[in-house]
Amino acid sequence: MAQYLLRRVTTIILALWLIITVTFLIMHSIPGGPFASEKKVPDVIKHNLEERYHLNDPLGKQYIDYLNHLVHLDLGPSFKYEYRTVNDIIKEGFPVSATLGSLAIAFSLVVGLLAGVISALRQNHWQDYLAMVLATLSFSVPSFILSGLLMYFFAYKLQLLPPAMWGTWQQAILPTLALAALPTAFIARLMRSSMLEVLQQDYIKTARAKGLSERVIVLRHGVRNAILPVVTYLGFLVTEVLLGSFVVESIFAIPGLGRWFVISILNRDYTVILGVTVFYSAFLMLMNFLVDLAYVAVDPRIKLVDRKDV
Amino acid sequence: MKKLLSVNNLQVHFTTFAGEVQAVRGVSFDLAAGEAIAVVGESGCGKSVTAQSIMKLIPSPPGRYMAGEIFFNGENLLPKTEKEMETIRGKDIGMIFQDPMTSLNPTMKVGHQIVEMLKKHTNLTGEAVKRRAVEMLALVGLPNPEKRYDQYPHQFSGGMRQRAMIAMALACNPRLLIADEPTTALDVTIQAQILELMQELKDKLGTSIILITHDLGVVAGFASRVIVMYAGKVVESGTTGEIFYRHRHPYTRGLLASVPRPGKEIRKKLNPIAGRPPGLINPPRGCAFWPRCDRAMQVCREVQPDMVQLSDTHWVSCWLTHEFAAKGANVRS
Repeated sequence: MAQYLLRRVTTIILALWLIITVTFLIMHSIPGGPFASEKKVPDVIKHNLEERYHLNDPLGKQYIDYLNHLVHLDLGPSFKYEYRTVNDIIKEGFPVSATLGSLAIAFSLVVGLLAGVISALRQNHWQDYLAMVLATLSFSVPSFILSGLLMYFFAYKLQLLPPAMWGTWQQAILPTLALAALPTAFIARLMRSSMLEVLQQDYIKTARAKGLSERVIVLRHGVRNAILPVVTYLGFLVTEVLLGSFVVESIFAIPGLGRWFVISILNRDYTVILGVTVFYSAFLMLMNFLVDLAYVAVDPRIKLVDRKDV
Repeated sequence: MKKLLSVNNLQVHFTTFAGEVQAVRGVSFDLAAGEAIAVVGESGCGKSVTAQSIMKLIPSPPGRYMAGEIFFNGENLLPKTEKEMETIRGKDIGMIFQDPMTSLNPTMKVGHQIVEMLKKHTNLTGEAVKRRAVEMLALVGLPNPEKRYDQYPHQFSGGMRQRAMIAMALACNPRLLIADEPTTALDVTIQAQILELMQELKDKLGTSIILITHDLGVVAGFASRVIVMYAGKVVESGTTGEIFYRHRHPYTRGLLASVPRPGKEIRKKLNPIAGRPPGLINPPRGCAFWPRCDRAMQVCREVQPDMVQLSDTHWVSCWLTHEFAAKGANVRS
């Protein structure tokens, strides 16, 4: 177990280093830079700016310097927003994104699991058909279209909810729905097929033969086993919600990290791009690691052992 | 002896896309308290459906109980509701299944799987429930029952899992144990151990047993009576001695001949013509076995033979027992 953990952490650090290196190289190979703009900036000023931010150093030196700062958890200053460091931006943006993301994940788990179980129990009845039609719909409509539709109907036509921005709980509803639609649909379908399979298993028949009530059979013996594939999907779910947040935050003008990331790329704000990438990579790997740990708790057949120990 | 179970003219149908499958077509048999009987027949002859009907475990839809009665302890089970059946299943009737590898819940400790049932059917609580479960695990011969109690099914071998299943099925001291092919998925050596265990527990606890199997080899020495089923009907029933040595139905003879004996090629005797049991969507008009029977007569194709009593215990449904049947009606016309 200890060896497994050590191995996992080493892998994560190696992967992070690889991501930093590749992002660094790609970023610098995109034409333009943080100080290129439509407005003509005198060459001398541009040169001075680049000098101040060490952009004229050889690429190798910039790379080493960046890694050096990163080890001290310093992600550098933003090139676009004066008096703001990347650390500040993450500190400001991440809580917003995390709130929105958690809401979306919670929604997709609760609604998706519920819909999946009900569809399976009422297979080929109207509840099943309704849930699966809805799932297929939200599975196939991309989030940027769904966001627009939600805004149009709930904010513009019905005037029930605010169309954008962040701060009140009403403002959280539409972006949460837009962000959760796809994972909810996926979880519902996953849970439905998994549940249908589990209900066919011999141990369900055993549970029936033991005289357990239908409720206990479905919950304790059915859902408990059918949920395993969904737990596997959790790591991917976090990734999906995170990627979706780039789009949804931009559309709903939510000051989260996703929106900052998109803006920073448009601005060629090198340090912000790198910083957010590093932060999100580390975050995702940590989440996947936690999911693996969760899997051990849910499925007793799985043990965390280093391959060499077996 | 007092009758514990009495199945009368049970008929079970399944609705499928192809049509109505008549899986069980009028099965009747009795079981006395403390008795062990065996139900034998090929796959698809209605053995398991009959067994599951006794606990009303047939999923509906597609299954339907068309007719008949199942008296258990003097009460007809068929009209009972699900809620009423829940108090009988596990408590008065225990059941073990064919494949012990898949019959236990993989995400639940073996001990808890016994405990959840004890909690449902008995007044035991807390430590007493656990003690009873451990006691049961010890009773079925699992070494280290305390430790086994806290383990998951995947930490058990196949034979041990079947022992655990038996422990579970017997935990509430049921009057009747239905064993649906309990040894089919096990190694031959383990098969013998499991049968021995069931025999031992039957004598110790006085549980009646219905053993469902397609292997007549495991029947001898275990059951006092044998019921032979074919195409959803009982074709012959009698004491184990009668079935083994004085059988009258050609199907029983075929089954017995198909018990493998080293060095003899006897498979052909069972299937003189390429054959499988008939489809039960449109069961044959006459005797269901005639297409595969080497002694079939004209009457067999047209009229269903009645059950004929040959002794106090021996019944058979075959035209060959009729007084008009020629003694030499051995040859197919």
